[in-house]
Amino acid sequence: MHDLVIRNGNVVDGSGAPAYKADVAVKGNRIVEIGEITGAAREEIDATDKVVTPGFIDPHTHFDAQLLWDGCAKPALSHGVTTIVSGNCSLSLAPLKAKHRMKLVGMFNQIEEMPLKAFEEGVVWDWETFSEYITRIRKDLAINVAPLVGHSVIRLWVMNDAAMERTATDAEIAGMQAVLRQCLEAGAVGLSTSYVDMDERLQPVPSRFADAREIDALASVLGEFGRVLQIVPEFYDADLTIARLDQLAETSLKHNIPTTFSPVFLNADNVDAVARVMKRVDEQFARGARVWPQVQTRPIDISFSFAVPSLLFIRFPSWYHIMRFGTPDDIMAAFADKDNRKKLIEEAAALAPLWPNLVFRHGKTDANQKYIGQTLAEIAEQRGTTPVEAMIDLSLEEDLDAHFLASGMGHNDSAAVGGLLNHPHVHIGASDGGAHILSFSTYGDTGYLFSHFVRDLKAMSLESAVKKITSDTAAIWGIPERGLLQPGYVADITVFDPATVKRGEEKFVNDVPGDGYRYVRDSHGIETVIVSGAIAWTKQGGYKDACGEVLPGPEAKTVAA
Amino acid sequence: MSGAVISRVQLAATHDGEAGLMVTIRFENGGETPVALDEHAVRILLESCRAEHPDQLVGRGWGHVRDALEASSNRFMNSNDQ
Repeated sequence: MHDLVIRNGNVVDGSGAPAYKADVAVKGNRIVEIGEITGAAREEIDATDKVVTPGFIDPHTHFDAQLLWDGCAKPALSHGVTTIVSGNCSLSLAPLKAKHRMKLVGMFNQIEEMPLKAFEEGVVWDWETFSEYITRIRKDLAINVAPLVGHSVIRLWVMNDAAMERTATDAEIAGMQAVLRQCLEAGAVGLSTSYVDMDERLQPVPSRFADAREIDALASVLGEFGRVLQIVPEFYDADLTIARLDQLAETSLKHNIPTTFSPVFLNADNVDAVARVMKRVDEQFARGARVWPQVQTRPIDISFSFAVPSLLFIRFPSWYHIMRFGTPDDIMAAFADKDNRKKLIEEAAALAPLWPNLVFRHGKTDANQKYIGQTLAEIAEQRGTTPVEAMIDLSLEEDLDAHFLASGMGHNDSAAVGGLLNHPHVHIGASDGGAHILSFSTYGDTGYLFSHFVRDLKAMSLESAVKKITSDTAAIWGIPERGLLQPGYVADITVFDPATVKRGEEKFVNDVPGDGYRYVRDSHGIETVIVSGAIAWTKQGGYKDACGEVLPGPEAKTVAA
Repeated sequence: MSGAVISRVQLAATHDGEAGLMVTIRFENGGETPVALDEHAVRILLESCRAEHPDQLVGRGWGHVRDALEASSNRFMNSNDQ
């Protein structure tokens, strides 16, 4: 008898092959049969009119901290994501000596917006080595985790404070190689590094002090294991990105390793730059290098409040001047002053195209809670005023702690982004799940892929989209036996309704340890999520017992059911 | 490269969900490349070009952009005791 049979579904197996009607049978943690299955099972799922696919793999997340109190990486699992890659951008929580803990907390706070109180109240620091961290998170894991080890933390481990000051000596590089080797043996999927990020003092993170020979030495260790190198290049400058991409290609070829870089995104004014980057990617692939650019599916939103300077109003000198040079009291006074207010409103009239996209997303007063999620145009209509005045009034009522969102301000040319996502060398990812938690929601990108690019725009087929986020991702990251629905593969499976799946509405929730908040999206159209043969989440019943694994490390494999 | 100038300035959405300024540099041979600047770099760039509006940056030399980027990234260097 099978443990689980998913019946009457439309199977999209992750290979890119056309969908077909079939049942999928699971025994233990494996798929054992796909076809017409007549025998009974201990548990059955009716997937009529639904799509049955491999579980989605998210290659760019920062769930390292959240996994310490939430083994489901909520809400990622509910969106059909069964495997996450953590530890991106040179930052992981291991290996980490006790004396460096607060340094890492500072970096996670600065770069990922993880509140300090979340660490104080949500983390029991009972590890130092990578192996100990893996043991720690594995206890409650419901989602699979392929953890990268961060270059910055390896530097800290070996060089201590000098990691943030200088290049490494030969002995220190040898020390870092030894530590990386231990991490890979303990199950790390690869190494991440960054040429961009800043720490909590707005100084370069440790990885940025590395010279080329250090990167080469660490890549040689990755080569011993065939594991991945992830980097954040100087993505704000096309020429630097291409130069870094060329270095990455040489590293990939020399050490025979896959590499990936992120982010690559399309704004109206950098289309040519992205075209140049992709042309070079193609050239390097033609040479045999593996240099996968990660591209996100969701558009980029700009979030702002008048408590912090923002360039959003830079074309309006009066606004920019008070935001840039005014104290909070100055800004409040300018908003309240009748003459100033008139001037600001007149100047902002030229922003008319922006108003339909401006949303009030967070305020602290009870009176304004009813407006959350509405556009300023909608709020203005209810208040009998104009959108600009509504924004000013809300800011005054909230002591400037009114948060607004300008949605779809970048990476929003659907035709161009759809074309990019379809590119054979583009790696769909860069969700940043678990990061930027106080700025925007980093969940539901897969739902957005299916609703916007597959269903609405028909920019890509359902089969191609599924392949991109399952078997392609597994192949790039060297994750065996996942990413396809076929007998013998591990049963990571997502069942969803292709007619209704979407990323869900954004909401601000109070579920971070230390009474903290974050932006999330509830999944929509996802029916059932199965991890390693066990039902991990259902639309009706929510999250289930833990069954996630650490991938692809040999130590982790011994834990498999 | 000495004759490279700012040829276009546009507001841009950044990876981190903040507003940035995309400055296009045009080289003497006609080639162009975009460079994204954060809020701090833009402030320095505006001051250095004595510009009150981003459109007034068009035509200014690329060296202003270089210096603004450098000043922005170095703004907290060597002040570890803060």
